[in-house]
Amino acid sequence: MPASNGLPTCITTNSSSISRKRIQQADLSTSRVIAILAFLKFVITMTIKAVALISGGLDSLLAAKLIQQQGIEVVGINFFTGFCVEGHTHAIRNRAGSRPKRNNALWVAEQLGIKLHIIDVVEEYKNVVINPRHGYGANLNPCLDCKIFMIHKAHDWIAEHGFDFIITGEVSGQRPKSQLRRFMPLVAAESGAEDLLLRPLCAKSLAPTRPELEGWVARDKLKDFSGRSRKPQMALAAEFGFEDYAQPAGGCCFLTDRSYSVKLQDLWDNRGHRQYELDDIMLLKVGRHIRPSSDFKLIIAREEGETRYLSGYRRQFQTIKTISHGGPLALIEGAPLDQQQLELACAITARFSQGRDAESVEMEFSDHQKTTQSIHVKPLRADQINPEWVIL
Amino acid sequence: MSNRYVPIRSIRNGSSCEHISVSNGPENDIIELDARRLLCPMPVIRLQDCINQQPTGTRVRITCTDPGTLYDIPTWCRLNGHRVLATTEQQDDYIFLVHKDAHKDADGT
Repeated sequence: MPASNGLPTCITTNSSSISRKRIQQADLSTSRVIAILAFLKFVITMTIKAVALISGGLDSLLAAKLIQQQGIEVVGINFFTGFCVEGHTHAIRNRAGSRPKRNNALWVAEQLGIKLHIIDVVEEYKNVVINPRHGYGANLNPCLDCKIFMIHKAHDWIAEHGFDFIITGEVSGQRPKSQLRRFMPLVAAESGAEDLLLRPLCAKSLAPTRPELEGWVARDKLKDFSGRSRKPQMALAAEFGFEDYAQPAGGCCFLTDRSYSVKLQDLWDNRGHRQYELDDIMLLKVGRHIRPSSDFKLIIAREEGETRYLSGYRRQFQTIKTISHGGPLALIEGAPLDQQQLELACAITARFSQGRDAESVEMEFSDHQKTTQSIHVKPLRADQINPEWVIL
Repeated sequence: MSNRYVPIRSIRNGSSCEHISVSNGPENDIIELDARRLLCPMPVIRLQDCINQQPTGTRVRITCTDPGTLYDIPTWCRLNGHRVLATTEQQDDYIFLVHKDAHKDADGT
């Protein structure tokens, strides 16, 4: 019986079989091609390597994780400028404190299971602090220059080590200057990283970068976070199962702190130049800084941990120690003191001892040659300490 | 047994980590690093910079006073493929004996 098309059934049947077979063969070929392409993509992404700038904060953790999830091999890099907040205050003060004492960048690397290179850039960073091309923020924080500097360093690093692109945890609009959307292209350009700089947390709201255009990473799996709110990041952290991360954006650099910046400016003003050494910027994080005259400044420990820390500088500084009562150690920064200055320095230091209300407190002064001298002073009253002496 | 002092880039202004001593003796070389008074992440940086210059199998003993090193040193070692053989606390000092293990450097460092 003929088929509806007029051809004999056997021919129609055979044609259908051939067609089905050809379709099946075509499906198989297509599947093979898809599988081969998927495998090639897998191989390519497995050989693609990225370096993530790990500050220790939540954003850099999430940014690196997003890229890791796409099969990219990620290694962490952290730059030590000397102005870091985390770790120092915990190490100096309150040894028995409950807050975890750890380097947060290492903690982030551990969560990700990645290597972390911590690079000392204290010397190179001086020019960023002293001569920022884009100026300072609210305090002595050169955030835009800092960002450019670090990404430039990362760019050098990937060139040296055969990596393919850079990841940061920046979020458009998160910070008042360095993460303003209009500055992001400037950072990419001036750092030299150009389109090798990927910001996974806000990439979808920025122009595509080379990793996206090359297909190394899938743009649709990146984020479009923006603004000051931390909620998107915290939600993503919960999704990844991250807990106990460092408190979010900001406050990780002493240069953003007004009190610290005032002390740093005082240091520069008093010396007449802006050069500094690592010990200088470390000591600004510790103690009460009191400058009774342009000739000298006192750095007075505020508690036992700071006394212990300042003790390590005894060989470099003139020092005052409270002998007759419990009290702080004070370092004296400046030229050798005359007797009047010495008595004033001792009276100020005694003010912060347990003998503050006593008629007389015995102090021990040690000069640059480590010759000691016992001095009895009446501690200054609080109202006798000129507010202009106190550098915050 | 003689000690060999290898000058390294000193920290600045009297910090105590100014040189490495290498004991040449039958117990195999142990490089001594003094990182007392150095705060995070300087002890890790000192250890990192030292170990990166040494061959596999080298042991480094680093003495620190920063309590954060109790987390930092072992974590850095774990992440970078090295081992902490021993951790000792003596008064205010934390002393770590670290072994540089052979591992494949994926990033060429």
